[in-house]
Amino acid sequence: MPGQAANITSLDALRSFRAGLVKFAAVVEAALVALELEGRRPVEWVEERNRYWPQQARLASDVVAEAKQALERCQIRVASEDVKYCYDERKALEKAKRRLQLCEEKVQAVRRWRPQMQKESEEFKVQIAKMKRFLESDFTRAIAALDRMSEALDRYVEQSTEPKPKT
Amino acid sequence: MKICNLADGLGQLAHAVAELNQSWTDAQANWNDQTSKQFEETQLRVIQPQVQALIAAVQIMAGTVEKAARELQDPREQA
Repeated sequence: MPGQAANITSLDALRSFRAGLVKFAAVVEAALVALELEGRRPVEWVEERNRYWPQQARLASDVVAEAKQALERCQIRVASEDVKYCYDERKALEKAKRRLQLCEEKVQAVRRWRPQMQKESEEFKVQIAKMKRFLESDFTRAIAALDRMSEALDRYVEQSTEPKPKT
Repeated sequence: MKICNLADGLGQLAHAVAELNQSWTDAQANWNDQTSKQFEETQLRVIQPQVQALIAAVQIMAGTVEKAARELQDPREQA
């Protein structure tokens, strides 16, 4: 820089920092690859839930139907004045209905989550793409700037250490 | 239920930033002039906000995934 004194006491420090920058870029790039891969999983998982819960709802519905039939068979068999009047069958039906209700709620929840997760995932991808672009452009420029400085300093050192011609 | 692992990537990013900061501190011990200040200003200061934005995005995603996992997992699968 014209008119300003340079204060570099070690060229190796510059080279070492350049190596640090290159390492930073490599680590961030590796992190981006991992994050990109992991970032896909939530969408896949919600899609899996979108198959899982309706399937569970159908199974739960079958279990409710079976429990109802079991209770009806019991009610025919056992006298209604019995204290333990079809207790197990009634409990089983209650449990099956609770499960069906849970499954139906989850089916609704998946419907809400599908577009939301898709949106979040897209935004996540945008941030990853921004960082990739940054590494490819601005960051590469930073390394190039260091290289230019380093080369200029190398030339300066070479010139100042060259033996002066004898007069 | 583990849906994805964002923590490793997040850790890598945080570690990379810490190492770069240390590397710059070390470099400054031997390079401290107007050019180094300008380099810091124009080339290095822009890194931090980029990485912070990415870290924030990872944290938001992790929070969303956690919430989705709570709402969509089957209590039977936990057993």
